[in-house]
Amino acid sequence: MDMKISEISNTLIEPRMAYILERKLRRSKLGPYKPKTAAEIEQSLKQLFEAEGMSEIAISGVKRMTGGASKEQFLFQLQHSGLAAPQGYVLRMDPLEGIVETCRLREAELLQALAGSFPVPEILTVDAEGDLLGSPGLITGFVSGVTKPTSQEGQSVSGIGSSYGHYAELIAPQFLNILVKLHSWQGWVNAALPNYVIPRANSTEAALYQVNLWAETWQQDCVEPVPMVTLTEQWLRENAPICKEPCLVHCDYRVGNFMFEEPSGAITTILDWELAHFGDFHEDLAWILQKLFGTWNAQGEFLVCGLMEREKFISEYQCLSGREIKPNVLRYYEVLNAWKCAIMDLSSAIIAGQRANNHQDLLITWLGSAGAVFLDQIEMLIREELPNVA
Amino acid sequence: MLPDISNRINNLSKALETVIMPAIPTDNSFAAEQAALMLGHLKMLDQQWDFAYLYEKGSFDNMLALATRIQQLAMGGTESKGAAAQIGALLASLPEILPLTVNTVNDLTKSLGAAVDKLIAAAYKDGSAEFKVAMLNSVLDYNHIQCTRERTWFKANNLDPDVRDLPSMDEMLSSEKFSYFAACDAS
Repeated sequence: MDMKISEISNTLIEPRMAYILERKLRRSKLGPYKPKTAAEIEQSLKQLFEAEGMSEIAISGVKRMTGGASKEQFLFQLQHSGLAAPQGYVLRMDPLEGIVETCRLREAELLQALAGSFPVPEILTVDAEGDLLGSPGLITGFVSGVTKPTSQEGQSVSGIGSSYGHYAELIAPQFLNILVKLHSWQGWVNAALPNYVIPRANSTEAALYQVNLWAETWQQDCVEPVPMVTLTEQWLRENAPICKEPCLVHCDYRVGNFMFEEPSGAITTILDWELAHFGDFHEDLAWILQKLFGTWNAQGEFLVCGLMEREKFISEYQCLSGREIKPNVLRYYEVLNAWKCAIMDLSSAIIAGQRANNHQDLLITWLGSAGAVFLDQIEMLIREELPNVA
Repeated sequence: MLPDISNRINNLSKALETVIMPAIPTDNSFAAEQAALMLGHLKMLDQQWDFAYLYEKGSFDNMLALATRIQQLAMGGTESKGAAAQIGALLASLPEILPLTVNTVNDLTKSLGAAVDKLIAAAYKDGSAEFKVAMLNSVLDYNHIQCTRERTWFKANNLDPDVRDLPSMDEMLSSEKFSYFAACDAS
């Protein structure tokens, strides 16, 4: 199902993302991918830092980080002539293919723009095309903290299904406050974000940029037809809501993607900004509300991201933000997000695993087996809309 | 078949669990995670392999029923009529006796699915309003049954928040409740 983005006319896709999809197509033919060794990473990092003009470079303690279904991640210590003492950093690098294809350059631009206003990792450098690292990569400062309570270690894949226990009460208000602040952030007006496109206000562009991007991803990575995915694309085009005022959305704001300290429960960093873009705030809320990211507590109540009940999340967000959550728009973005996840699971993850092009083929194949969970969600959500469909 | 497939999968799991995993250095969490995933995949494979043909045949039957239904419902302009005619030709060309391997049955399901996709897209271009609604309902009904089958097939992955609502593997494979083909036949 090879299809060049440049061949498609009259579609709204951010130019950098169109390039990233084309690049993925090219890189997918270079496989199979072999996970990098610590020695290879050390060598690549040295090359990169030399090119950056550093001297007396010493890299040590290169250690692969577990988890991370889309990027290969390594911890390391860096010492050079400009540093008084070695410092810890994290390298995030693209395998040939993953469950989701994103851009390290965009991620770096955004982290730079958000620094000082939000708890984000500090950028050291980015190798957007992988000229020196061998694969596109981003290096950020190491931040202390955990993504799930130490007592819960090893109980979930990619943080999914994590339970926060008594930390839930400490984390939930911070989780909401940061989200509200993000959606009201106006810093983008003066920030250098050349690889992002801001959808037109009071138009359906916010939704359509996303529908087009993921429809292209499906076309490119499709392994076998899934009628519900095809039907949903049409439904999303037909029902795209107007977004009055696009804002920055993280789009993977969930359990497993923030770090906190023990025992205080203070959030230290928001991670994984790779899917962030400008869009409708409902898109973030709908992502957070997905069932896959939640857990059931001992009382049989479903907790959004393992933190709080759905109604409480919605009412507190409205109260803190002053924004009105429109149920039909929220439902639209719940469909859109479940559709995106179905595409990740049933096409990108599966094809990357088939071509052995990921550092964690086993993990992404495992995650791919959850595709039907999202299709089931979509069906339920569209049925709620049925009276209006005709 | 001696040794049988379950025997070999279980031997693999045991070797992994009792010899290989304990030998992984405690500071190599990547290797430990990969080994744990291998073990998980092996356990799931052990639950699935014996039913794989039955499962794939059920998926084919459901896609066949969906293709037949929406082809019969199709109304509208040239795109919808053309896509429906393509399904008709494909249905007429299907073998009377299904092939005997999982992959060959899956190939047939995929070719039907591609034709179904074309008709869905065509319906949104020039299908009649009545057809669009009927098709939407048909795809939703098919999806409900097929998703329940797939979620049951993979329920050992621990990624389904509603796993407690799913039937057993035996029930999913044998009950008409989980066959869109049977549901269409009954109506």
